[in-house]
Amino acid sequence: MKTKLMIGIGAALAIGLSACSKDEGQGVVENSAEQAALAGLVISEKPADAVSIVQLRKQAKAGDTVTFTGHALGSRSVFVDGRAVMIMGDPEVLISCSLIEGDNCSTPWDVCCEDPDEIKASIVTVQVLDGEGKIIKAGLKGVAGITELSDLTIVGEVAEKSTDDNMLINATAIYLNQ
Amino acid sequence: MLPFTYALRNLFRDPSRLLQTVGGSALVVFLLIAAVALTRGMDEVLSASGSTQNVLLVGKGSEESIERSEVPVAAESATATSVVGIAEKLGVTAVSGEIFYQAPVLTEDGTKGPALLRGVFESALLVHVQVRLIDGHFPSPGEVMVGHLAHRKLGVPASQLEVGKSIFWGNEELKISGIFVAPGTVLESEIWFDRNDLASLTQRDSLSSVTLRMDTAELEDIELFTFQRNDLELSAIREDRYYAKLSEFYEPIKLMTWVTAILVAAGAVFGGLNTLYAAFAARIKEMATLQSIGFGRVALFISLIQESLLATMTGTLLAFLAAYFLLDGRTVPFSTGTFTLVLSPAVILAGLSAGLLLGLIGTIPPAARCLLPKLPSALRSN
Repeated sequence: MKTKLMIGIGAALAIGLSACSKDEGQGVVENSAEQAALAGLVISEKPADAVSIVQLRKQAKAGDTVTFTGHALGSRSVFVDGRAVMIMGDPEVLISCSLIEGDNCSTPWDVCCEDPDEIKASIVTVQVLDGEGKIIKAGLKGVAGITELSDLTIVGEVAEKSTDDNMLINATAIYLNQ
Repeated sequence: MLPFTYALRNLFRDPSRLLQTVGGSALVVFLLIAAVALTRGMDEVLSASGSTQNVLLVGKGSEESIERSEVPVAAESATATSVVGIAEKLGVTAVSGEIFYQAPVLTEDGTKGPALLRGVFESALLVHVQVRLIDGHFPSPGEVMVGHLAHRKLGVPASQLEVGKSIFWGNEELKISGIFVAPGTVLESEIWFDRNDLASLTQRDSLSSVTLRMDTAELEDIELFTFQRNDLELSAIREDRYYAKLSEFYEPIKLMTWVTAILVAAGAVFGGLNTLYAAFAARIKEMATLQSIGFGRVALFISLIQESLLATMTGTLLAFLAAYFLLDGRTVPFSTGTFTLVLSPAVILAGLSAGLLLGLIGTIPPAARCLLPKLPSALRSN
């Protein structure tokens, strides 16, 4: 009796778990395609002639192809879960809290010690678009090890919606500086 | 088993001890009921106030305090035009730019009380869907609309905030145009102004927040918008999470309430133990006599527990009666709004459990001590 009961419970569990794994499998396939698209942007050779973000903000206009370096910092959240977008800041101007002696801030990339106007002038938003011009629905955090404070060189185009106060870069290549 | 009437009769052996036990249990259970009702009331009003469909856009760095937040006025229209998937009604997008302010106001009877002020336009009703106007109309310039619990926050009778009456802020007189309800939310304690009025009264040229209601949009789409408009310096937070963070702010107060209740309960238990040790010690011979005529220790133990539970549960009943008349339905103002004390199933269960535990924990050790001695020595005891 006991054996029959155990077999019955085991069968029910097996059916239930296989149903779960089927759904999970489909979701994983969709995420993988977008994750693969993002991973494909990461290049192994450092692009030449990269400028700083402050220089970029002064010189670049909408439609320009640009190459620049910076760190993933400038806000309490520099990534959005499930969206290929991040904020990058100029490390020469925005000093991460982790570099300040005695500062034990748990989110040093928010550079909260800096002047807000200085932060606004020294950051850009980097986004990755798909073939239809829409933001890819996968996060950039974790792609090839990208995380807060990562040192990156980006190749891309200044988006049409960019203004003097707000620069958007459509990235076409990402290099992780070691 | 010993008959139930034995336990009942023994209760009245010492009327003063009975009164002490019933009274003590009643006080402890009442205190615990009040503590549970207070913490649950505060948690429920804060959790009901925030919707999972609403997202607050506040100034960067002000995610925990909307009063300190500064959002450019342009953010309201930018949000409405840039974000796809926001709820709409009759072609109007559910986006509400609001000013939030706390200040004392004066009522017609001269009472000055702290008030929660919100400057809005009619679009606020598309976002705060719990709000219903029950009397009067939405405020025009020079008018205000009051929540039906705003009088509790101000500390005045409800009659002072009826439609047609006025409130005063500085040199400004503002007529009350309407009364609204938003059941179970902190909104009911607020006074709503025409936004332009509040902006000029507070000399603000920015908003405190922009609240939007999502339809097909996701929170990530709103966050994306804030990333794409760094010039507006916005931070997106879901409304329910904002209020959950506010709830955390009150954790120390809730902890103090619980510590006080537990300390009082512990005092009652130890006091009860003391009393029962003495009371049962005087009955060792009686218990031994009952054993000698055939009643087992277990039956006697159960009878002693019955006796104790009768007293503590009587006290629990009195506590519930007192709570029903003194606490149930009472509104309690706090810094963010007003909540109502309710004898919900959870509160009742907590009170019943407390009464049971008081009866059990306070009885088991003295009862065991009374029944453990060997029969011959127990029969000879004085």
